[in-house]
Amino acid sequence: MNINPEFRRNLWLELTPSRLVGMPLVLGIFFFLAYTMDDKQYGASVASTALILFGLLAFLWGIRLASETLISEIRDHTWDSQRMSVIGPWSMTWGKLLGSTIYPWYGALICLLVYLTSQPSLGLSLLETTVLLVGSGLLGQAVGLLSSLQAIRKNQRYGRFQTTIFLVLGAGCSLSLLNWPFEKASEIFWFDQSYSDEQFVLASLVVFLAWAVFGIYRLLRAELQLKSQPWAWSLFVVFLMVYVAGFLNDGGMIYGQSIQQLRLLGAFTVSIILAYAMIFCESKDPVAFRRLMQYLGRREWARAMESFPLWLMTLSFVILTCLFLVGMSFSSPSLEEASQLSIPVIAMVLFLIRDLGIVLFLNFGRIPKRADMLTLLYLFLLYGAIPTTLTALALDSLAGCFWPVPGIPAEVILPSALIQVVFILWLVASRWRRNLQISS
Amino acid sequence: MIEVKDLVFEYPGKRALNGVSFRVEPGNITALVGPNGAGKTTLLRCMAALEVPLHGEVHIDGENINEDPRACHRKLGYLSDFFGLYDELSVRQCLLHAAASRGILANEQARVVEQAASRLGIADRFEIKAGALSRGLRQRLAIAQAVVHEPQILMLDEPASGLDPEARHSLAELFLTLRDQGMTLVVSSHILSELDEYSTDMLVLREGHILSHDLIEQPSAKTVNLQLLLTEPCCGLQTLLSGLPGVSAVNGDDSSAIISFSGDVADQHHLLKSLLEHGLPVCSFAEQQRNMQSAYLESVRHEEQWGGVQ
Repeated sequence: MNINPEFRRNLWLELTPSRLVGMPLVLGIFFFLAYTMDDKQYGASVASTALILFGLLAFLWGIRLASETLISEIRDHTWDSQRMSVIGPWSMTWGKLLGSTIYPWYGALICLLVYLTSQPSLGLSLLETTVLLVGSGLLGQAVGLLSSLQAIRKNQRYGRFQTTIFLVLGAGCSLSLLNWPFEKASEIFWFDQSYSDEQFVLASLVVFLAWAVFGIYRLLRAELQLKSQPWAWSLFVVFLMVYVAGFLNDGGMIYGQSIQQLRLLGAFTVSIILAYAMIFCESKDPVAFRRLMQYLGRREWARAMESFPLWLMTLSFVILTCLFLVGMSFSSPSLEEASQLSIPVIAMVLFLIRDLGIVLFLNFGRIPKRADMLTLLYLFLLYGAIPTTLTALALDSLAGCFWPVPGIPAEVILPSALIQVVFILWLVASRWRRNLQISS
Repeated sequence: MIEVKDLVFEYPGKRALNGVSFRVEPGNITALVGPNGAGKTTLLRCMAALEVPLHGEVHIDGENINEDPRACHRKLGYLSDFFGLYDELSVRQCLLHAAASRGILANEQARVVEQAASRLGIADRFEIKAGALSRGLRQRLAIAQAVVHEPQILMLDEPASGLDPEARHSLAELFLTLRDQGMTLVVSSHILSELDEYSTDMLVLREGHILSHDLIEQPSAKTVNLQLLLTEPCCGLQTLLSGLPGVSAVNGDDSSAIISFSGDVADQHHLLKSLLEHGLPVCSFAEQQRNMQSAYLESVRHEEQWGGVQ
């Protein structure tokens, strides 16, 4: 039988006889201490010790190992040979996700067993508790691996400090879901339907875990030189827009909007956040843009779609939801009411395009390595320092030129945003032309 | 076997390969030479489908590498200049992993691993961890991993860097053995002396351009270059030499000359005898080898003189 080579390699590395013996011994010492300190009772004290140890093993150690598995391959120069292997992206996905974390899971599953057998009252059913704990651990590890993989595709050099960011990201995702059923005891309304907390969180956990694993699979496909169209990302954007919109059940929260407008506004906000996230997560290599332009020029649509930047794809969702919102706002009884929502929404799209332009302009420069950090500085100036200063000087309407807040007259905010967009796009085009001249 | 057509590769702000085109025939050991930064590693990485070029095509055994890189990977073995090994795995485990990840069936893995290890002379070190091997043995293990699936083409980037002379010599012998077993090799290096022992042709790369792609001259029984040195100048040396039998061309001055001479060693003896009979104060008379170094420098000089690229 052919075992997944990547999984087998990890088994060889992680599950050595001494480690297999060492883990239960160390855990046993902790459980024995808890047992003796709780008047030799196999109960709550042992259960909380087991839960804490589970968290340390699955959420801290496991996520760190998952985040580092590819980074260490690149650091140790073994990734090229993996890329030239015949291991498929799906085998590589589970081989890396489960293989790199097999040893922490070995310990975590012992802890889970002790927790389930020692906890006097679980609150959830045995199966629900197991799915929740194991699922959230896997989700954190998958998010850690996914974010490190995305970061690697942008820039191949990452040290231990940066991997801590992936650890925090993974742990944040899983713990936020894990915390939910323990903290709240009410029902959740999603698209006006009532669900119990446990049901909803477990379903969300499974769905987000599936998305995270699918994300790893898609990125590994690209790393392993398999061609992919960007439909998976588009599906995820739509899913998240719908998922978030489902929580908005109270119409009239903002400017008396209808429930549909409110949900669309929620979806619009999600698409804007994802567009910002992707522009910073993706590589803005000008050579890749030139390749894309060549494909478009030669009308090789399939290839063009394969190299299409995901932030640009997300921008299309932003514009689409913006158009829907503006269209819906005109169903309002008065123009004034319609403009209350549509003007800030249009302004937000224009400001987003301006910001994307700033990112591109700086990334097409001579030192693209620091471009993203520099962009953040510019955005801080544009959204923070300048409007605050203008507001402090009682120049509120001027501040609206940089900050799409409601209440600013359309004749101020829209021309200002448009001028900024045109200016930054002109700068991007100039730098692009200069780069072409240098290359030729 | 390998065909590269008009390959262009750019890093942001720098064109690393500029319209590179060439062919490598089956059974060749092609030396890819050029100074640091010439584009050798980038070219090899494009040929191994590890980088996507901006323009151009690479065909491996008729298959376009940009269309189906994974299919081409089955035919390729590649050793990068900064190769890595799984240091905590034993030699056997490293090779088993390489075999499995290259699609060798489970019941075949032990056999191909034994074969690759024997080929590379590391079969007696199966149970040693990769991290405990010497530099030369690590190199051998890395090559064994690259050839475990019996690729048709093996590409190696600076394979001899950091090796001692003995290890370099055995590496050269290994390349010749692999070639004799039917493999086509492309070996990049900027140390030309090491390529002399095994290369069949030389591809000179400079600043992303191909300067030349020449067959390496094999030692000929008929025409050789002889270097003549005199203890003191002799007027009319070149005229005198040109008139002697077997001499086809002469370069030099009154004290020294490079003679293009047709003949075997007995004829060389007669030539030396006649030089002495003419009263020339001969200090040194020896055959001059045209090696990779001189061929490379000749290509570079030609490029500098004419300023053209092929």
